[in-house]
Amino acid sequence: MFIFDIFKGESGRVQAVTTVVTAGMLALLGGLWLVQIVLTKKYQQTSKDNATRHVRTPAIRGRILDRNGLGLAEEKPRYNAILYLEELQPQFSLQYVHLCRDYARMHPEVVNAKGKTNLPSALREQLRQEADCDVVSNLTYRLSASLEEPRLLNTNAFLRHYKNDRYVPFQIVPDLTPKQVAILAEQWMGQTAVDLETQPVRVYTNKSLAANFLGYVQRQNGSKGGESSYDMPDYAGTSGVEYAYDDILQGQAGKNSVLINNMFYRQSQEIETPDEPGSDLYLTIDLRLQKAAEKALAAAPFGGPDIRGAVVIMDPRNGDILALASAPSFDPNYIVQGHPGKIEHLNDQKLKPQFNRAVTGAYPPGSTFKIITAIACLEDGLDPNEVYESQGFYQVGRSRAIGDEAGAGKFDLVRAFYRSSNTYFIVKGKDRLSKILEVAKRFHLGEKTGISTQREVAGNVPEPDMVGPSLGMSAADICIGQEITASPLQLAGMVSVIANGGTLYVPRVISHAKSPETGEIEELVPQGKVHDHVKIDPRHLAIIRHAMLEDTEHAPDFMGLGGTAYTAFHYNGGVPKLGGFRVAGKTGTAEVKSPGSPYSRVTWFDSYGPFEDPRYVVLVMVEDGRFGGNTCAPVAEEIYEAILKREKASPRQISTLAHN
Amino acid sequence: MYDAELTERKSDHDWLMVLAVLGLMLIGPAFILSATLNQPAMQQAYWHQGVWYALGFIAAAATCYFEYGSLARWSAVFYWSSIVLLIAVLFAGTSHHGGKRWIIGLQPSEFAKIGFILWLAHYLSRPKEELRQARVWLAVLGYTLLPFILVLKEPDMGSALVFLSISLAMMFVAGVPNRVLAGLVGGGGVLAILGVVLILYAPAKIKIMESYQSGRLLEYFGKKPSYNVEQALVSIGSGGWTGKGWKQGTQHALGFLPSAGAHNDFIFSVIAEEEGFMGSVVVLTLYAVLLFSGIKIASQARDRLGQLLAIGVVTLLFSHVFINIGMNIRLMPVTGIPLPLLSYGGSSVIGSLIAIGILHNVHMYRRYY
Repeated sequence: MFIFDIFKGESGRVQAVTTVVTAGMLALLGGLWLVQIVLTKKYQQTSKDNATRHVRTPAIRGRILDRNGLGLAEEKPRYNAILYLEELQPQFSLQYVHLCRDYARMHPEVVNAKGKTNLPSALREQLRQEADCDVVSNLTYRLSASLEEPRLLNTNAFLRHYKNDRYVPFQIVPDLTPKQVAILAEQWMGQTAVDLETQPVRVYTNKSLAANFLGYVQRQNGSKGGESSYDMPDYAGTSGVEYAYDDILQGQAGKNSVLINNMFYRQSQEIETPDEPGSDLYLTIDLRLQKAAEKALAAAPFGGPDIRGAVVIMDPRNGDILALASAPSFDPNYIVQGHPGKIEHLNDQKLKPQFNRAVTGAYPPGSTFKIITAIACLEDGLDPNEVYESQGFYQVGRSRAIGDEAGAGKFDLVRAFYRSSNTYFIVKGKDRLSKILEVAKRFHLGEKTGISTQREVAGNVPEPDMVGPSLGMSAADICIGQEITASPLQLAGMVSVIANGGTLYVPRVISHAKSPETGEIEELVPQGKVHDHVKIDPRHLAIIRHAMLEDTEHAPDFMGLGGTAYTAFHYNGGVPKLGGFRVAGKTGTAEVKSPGSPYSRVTWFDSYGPFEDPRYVVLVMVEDGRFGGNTCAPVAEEIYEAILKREKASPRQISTLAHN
Repeated sequence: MYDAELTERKSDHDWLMVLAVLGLMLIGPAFILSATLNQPAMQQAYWHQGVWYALGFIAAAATCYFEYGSLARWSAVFYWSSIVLLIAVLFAGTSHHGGKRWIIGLQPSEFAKIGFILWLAHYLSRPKEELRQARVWLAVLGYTLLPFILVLKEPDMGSALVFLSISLAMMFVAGVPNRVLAGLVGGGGVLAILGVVLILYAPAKIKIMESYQSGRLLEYFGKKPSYNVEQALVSIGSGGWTGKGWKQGTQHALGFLPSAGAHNDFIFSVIAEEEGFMGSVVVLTLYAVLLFSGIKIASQARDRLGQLLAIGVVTLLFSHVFINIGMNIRLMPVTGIPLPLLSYGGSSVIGSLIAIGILHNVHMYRRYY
């Protein structure tokens, strides 16, 4: 071994040199061991963090479809012109050199004696930024001018992008028209740095249709995942169905990891986690009925120019909601695309377009509550055939008389019902108040229904044991459905119980979700989920059903007094508008005296049909209508006509729930 | 027979050392290629390095052609002409990256080191008794400080330090008394400490060093974050056991390791990142073979001149290796000194090969056991 030879050498001083060299090499070896083996994890991480950035890529949002697969909310592509900044690096450098030269010319003090320019690093960084800004600004103008939409670079937006997100493309002209897309493809594509970006945008196909029930999505911002990550524009449901089922619709956002260089420009990119598109959401809503309902509601007679009201169409056999309309509505596309000027009425305190009156509105049910009062009286032993002589009004105390559109005369239960005699039901009901409230509770009025999509209102029906001086409501008012409140959806449930003979279903608007990739179906809300079985004596039920049928079918007598909804369902001369399709119903008109209320009366028509085999409950409510009979019943009649058309068009769909 | 015994020229070569040098010359271009992948202007660099190797090899062979004793007779010429070049570079030199080191494409400091070794070996190879005389070692001190100051003025602190270490090692081996050496080292040390303290704590008005130099010192003493060293450490550390693979290093490819240095002063970071600890060990082993061969040559040298020449070359190579790799792993301050044979650059490559040629020359005319 030669090392041995060295030590054998005569010079001790050469030996000392050997020791120093050996020690030095061992020190290097030790240092490298420390850095490369002991601390390698830390440095590997730093090396990775140095060069990796993450981009969150939102998944395509699922569609919202009606029960037959017709679209209510869908994704449409939006085209933007973008710049790949990393491909402009040579231009940036060139411009930077120009700027440095110009600066040196203007400020000779930075040039030293030997002609070398010496710029402080902060200034260099500033010039670099200016250079990038100049190049992009120039390109923006040229590109937008060729797209016939000349625009200047939003410098602040670019500088923000330059500072934080240099590794992702920069958008220069958003939302291109088809013509602009064509120009871009023809003149610019293939050129350095310019590209077309497709961005999915939520579109509500039928504009304002069912908007206050579907809800809408809004751009999410401020959710940046930290220094080294960038979130692509992302939308999330912020109200209605979009909000309630956001998880399912949204899918799973993907993640791209971007390799960047030391100037923070993108070097390369790979998909770390692919995104999973959101599932399509199938509603129980029938788009055609929803349209018919909204159209009929908007045309409600005597409702004034801005109809405020709601329609619920429910299948009494299983609780499926076929239409859930609330007027007025709004076009959520303006919110998504950000045109706040077009939806100024959105926060109007009287119109409340975002407010779903069918679910979130609590209204006094008025005379439609006589269904409950009648059942309570029957159960308490009222003889339905006993005739009561009404004087045409009811005197409450000394100062107040409750009027009666039914007029004076002789009434048995059925006639009192279809003529909607207040006097009869107050006289018969006022001493049976706790029984009435007990029946109302049996129908779960004044309680939330359990609909899965949005906030709903409970309403206010006092407990039966609260009856007494402390109740704070007059017995007379409760008998005719004033002062207590319930939502139109709750009343639709009540009518369904009458129609189906005693089952209260949980109203269902959401059916299932279907994955666009696997076709896998996920049942979200079971059909026909029973909320409660409501016990009613079949004889009483028969009386109520008969009375409700008389409301639409009892022709006026010689004095012109017939069912309150007769006119709405018959042509002059008594020919029924719906032919053999018989509808049972109850009109209602509630007076609202409370000072802060945006409306002074609420008009109703609660109904179901066909009478022999009930498949539809149609409930119409209009704020500040004239009377239930001439404002709401005609709306319901229009809707039944649409129902008839639907049944003729596709008889099979009526009995089966489409899982298509 | 007698003649043959005394024939000075032995035709055998130190093959182990030659193999180590060849090994380094294979590694060099491979990683210069990798380090310059993303620099369009530098695509020919690895090939140029091969040309430098060839020129250096010719120069080394030429060196071996003359017996080192006859080379030493010309040492005064080499020394003083290199001093003239060092002075010329101060006036007419060109600068890159904060140091004025080049003149007509060459770095005179690299050649001055060889002239310095030759001259010092020649001067010190006198009877040991004379070395005790103050006049002699003071003269040596003067011959050392002259290039030291000129190189420091360029400024190139790394190379300046190399002159000091070569001088110290050669005086030591030549037999300058220990107390003299201790005095010199002690005095130099005190001056150095004073200088560092001044740089670190003195008011900014008093300018002792170029700003980038004091900056590097500040960085070394942890007073200022250093981007380059931090990134070099990340490069080396992220190599782990086996590295990321040839041409797969990200630190230099993405520009985190400064591209101006990746193929020269920081070439070791590139090797260590791409080949890991194993690669580092291979490089260290090749240098160890070269250095220990050199020490062996020193101990077998025919005379004191040969021994001093060998020690001078060993110290030159060792200083470069230690300072360069040490700088890469933060053992030393950043001084901008090339790694012999691996760093890209003609002067360094040719200078290193001439130095190795001198070593080999001493080996060929060694004492014969």
